[in-house]
Amino acid sequence: MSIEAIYAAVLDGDEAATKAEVQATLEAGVSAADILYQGSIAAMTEVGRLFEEGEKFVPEMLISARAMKAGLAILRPHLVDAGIEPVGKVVLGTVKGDLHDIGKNLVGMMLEGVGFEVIDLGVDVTPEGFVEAVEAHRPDFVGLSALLTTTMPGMRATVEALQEAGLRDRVMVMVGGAPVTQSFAEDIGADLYAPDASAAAGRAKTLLAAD
Amino acid sequence: MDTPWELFKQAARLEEPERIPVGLIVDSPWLPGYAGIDTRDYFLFPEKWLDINLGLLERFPDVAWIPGFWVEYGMAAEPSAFGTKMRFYTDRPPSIEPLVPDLAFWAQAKPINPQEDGLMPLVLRLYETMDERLQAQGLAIRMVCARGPMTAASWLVGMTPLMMALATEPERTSKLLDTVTTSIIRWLRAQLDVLREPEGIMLLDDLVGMVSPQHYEEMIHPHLRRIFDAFDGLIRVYHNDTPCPHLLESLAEANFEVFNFSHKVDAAEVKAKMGHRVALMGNVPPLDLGVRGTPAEVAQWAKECLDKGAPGGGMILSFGGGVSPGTLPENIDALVAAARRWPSKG
Repeated sequence: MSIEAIYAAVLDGDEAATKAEVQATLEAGVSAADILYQGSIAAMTEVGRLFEEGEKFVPEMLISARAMKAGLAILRPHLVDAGIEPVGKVVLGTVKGDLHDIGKNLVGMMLEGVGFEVIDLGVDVTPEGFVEAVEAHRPDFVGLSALLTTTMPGMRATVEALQEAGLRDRVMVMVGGAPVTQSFAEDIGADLYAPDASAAAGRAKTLLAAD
Repeated sequence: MDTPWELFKQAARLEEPERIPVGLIVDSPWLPGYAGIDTRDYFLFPEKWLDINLGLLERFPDVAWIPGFWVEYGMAAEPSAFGTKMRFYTDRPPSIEPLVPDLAFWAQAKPINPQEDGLMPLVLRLYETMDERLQAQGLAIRMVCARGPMTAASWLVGMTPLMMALATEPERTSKLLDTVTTSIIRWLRAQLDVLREPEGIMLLDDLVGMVSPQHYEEMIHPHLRRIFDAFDGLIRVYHNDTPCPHLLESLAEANFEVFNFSHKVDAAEVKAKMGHRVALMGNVPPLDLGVRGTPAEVAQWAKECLDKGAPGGGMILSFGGGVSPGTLPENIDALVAAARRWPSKG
């Protein structure tokens, strides 16, 4: 058992090995924070880099993220006990009329992978649903996903709903999905656009640090 | 002078037609809004559907509409045959709710029967009657469509479970893709059988672009190839606007004639990797330029695309994807004008 083994298990997307290694490494006296930062987060950062380099693809990224989440579930109570806080909080969902989950899931997993707390609202989320979640959870970011050109207007509607609710200045809006572009993001007044999940996680972290 | 469809076919055969054809994928995300009607009415009333599609020919006489006169319910026909839940809306095509994420459930599934299952019999009947109507006007429905194996399978199990299963349950995933592939071949064949003079098929599958070369070769290519092989002799168009430069050489071996690809991939790269056996159909940005660009910006991108893809033949000017909702007619005119001008000294 070792942090290196956890890193390798997450990188390989081996859920069972990740759980076993995290448990054994904790029992060996290694701190949850070291396991999180040097094992899980470091591995997911590498997964993101390999994705951006075209060396890993969506299936591999998903199984790495699943392994990371399995390990995180074991670590979470230890992190709470140690007073380790997430780097930030994100409310995430696929917009109204769109039942596609993959982009949202990838972004959510990568955000968790770099240390964010993610509140996943699921798919087909109305503008009002996003507003309620922002009010309830007070996140740093609200993330809007759409896979279809026909559902992208739901992003603009959500930004407008946040504005009308007086919440727009309290939360940064990140948008993404296959048809979404930087130009569209600027057009609707979003704060962050990224072409893929790994870039989204990295940019969110950078933007939050600069905020 | 050759018709747009004749020009399209020449380019599909890697020839150099007298002028560059403009071919645009058109369907229910754009057409009801373009015509100013409720999307449900577009699906429900054949007279409106017919008028709108005929109107396209009149308004844009120099465009080959692909497939043209597409009888569809958004993406609902294929998943409906497997029993999925559909949600219809006033202003956009229906969405599909995945049925069961567990691949073990699908191991027992049988391929569909397009004559009786879901919305398919209605589509077939409409194709038959509309093709007869068009015959009286000297027109015909030339091409039919289906979604590809990954997209169709994603409606059954969900996109995320399917992608994960590629890596974790390869045998069950292959079984599901096999069932879906057989269904797609049956569906395409049934549509072709009710038309008088079919000349082509189009397969749409963006999810293919998300996988590694290894997963593609081992688990997806055999199914794509089986579909395209089943329709040898017809013009076969493959739409996949996920940027996938890592798969271009492999996709060239899937046995289709025309590739509609993303604007995020350089046309020169696609030409270099696929142009020896596949015609290019692209790749003006559908949203940033088709919807939000100016005619001058469309013309500029189109010229650059043609400069990269058209020399030597096998080039169809198009958007890098379908016609997006809100596409401006004047930007389609700009595409047509750019195709007419090429090669340009400017």
